Amino acid sequence: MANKVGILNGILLVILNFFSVIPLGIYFGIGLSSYTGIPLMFAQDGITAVYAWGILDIALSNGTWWLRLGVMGISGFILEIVLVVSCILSFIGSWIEGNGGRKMMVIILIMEILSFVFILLDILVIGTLGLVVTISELFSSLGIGMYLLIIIILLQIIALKIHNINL
Amino acid sequence: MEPKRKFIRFLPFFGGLISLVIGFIAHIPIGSLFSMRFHIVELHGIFYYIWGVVEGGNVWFEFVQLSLDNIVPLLLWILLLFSGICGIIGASYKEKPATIKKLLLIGGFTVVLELLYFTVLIFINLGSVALGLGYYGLIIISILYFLSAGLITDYQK
Repeated sequence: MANKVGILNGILLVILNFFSVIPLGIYFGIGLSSYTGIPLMFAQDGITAVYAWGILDIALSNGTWWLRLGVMGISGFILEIVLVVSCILSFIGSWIEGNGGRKMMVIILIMEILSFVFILLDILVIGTLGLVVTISELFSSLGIGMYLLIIIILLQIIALKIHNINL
Repeated sequence: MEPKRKFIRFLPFFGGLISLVIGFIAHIPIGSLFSMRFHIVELHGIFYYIWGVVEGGNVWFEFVQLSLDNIVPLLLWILLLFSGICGIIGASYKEKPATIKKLLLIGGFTVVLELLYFTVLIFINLGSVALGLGYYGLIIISILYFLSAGLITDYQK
């Protein structure tokens, strides 16, 4: 039987990788709209919000996800690639029972932890994601995306523990 | 003899679906004049949903910033989402009956906890308010969960 926690983890990773906001208060007006939502940014400084897929100018609400790839080349897009690969592997690994699936789960966990450390270091020191903050500003600038990534890592550990290795 | 297994258990599935609808949807129009609003309570034209407060199309409360003010509403929303996931997972016939029973009981108690919270808030802060579909929805979810947890039997025994 598939690892349900692993599948839930994969769904959360899809949301983190491709969405800017989880819509709340959805209503059917002219098309589909929502009153509010949970923003999935990793960090923000009041002007710029950093997501897995790119940068959003909060003042202009102008999505510029292409900026990282266009200006920095593939090095600016490594985080997204790693997260997308871990997302795909999460779905595949959840369906594979036995040691093969378990190894895949370990690889996903390592990729997620590396992503988390990279984001944290990048926000604090490097700045390739498009934002640098000081340590004192860190907790006020971290967004829900970062906390969601921590939840994803914890879920991945649970998925690894409950993974069926007895074929 | 083992009974013929269906695709899903309908009671927990509908419970899960209702909790997700309350957690995400504001209103669904029925015709051009009427719409189903999934708010918990209404007071003087202000609609209190589980995800926020709406007055005349403006939202008072949002989860944009994580602050102490937002922690309790965010926790309530996460609990509702959790109970919805419990219901949908509990609808599967492939899981062990004992596991599903536990999941549904946890989901049911979560919803009852939310109901208690809102009921206390209504009595303390608001007084006379109009209860919305969301409140009745929470009652229906808890009934569906406890009913389905009671109906689950272990086919192996």
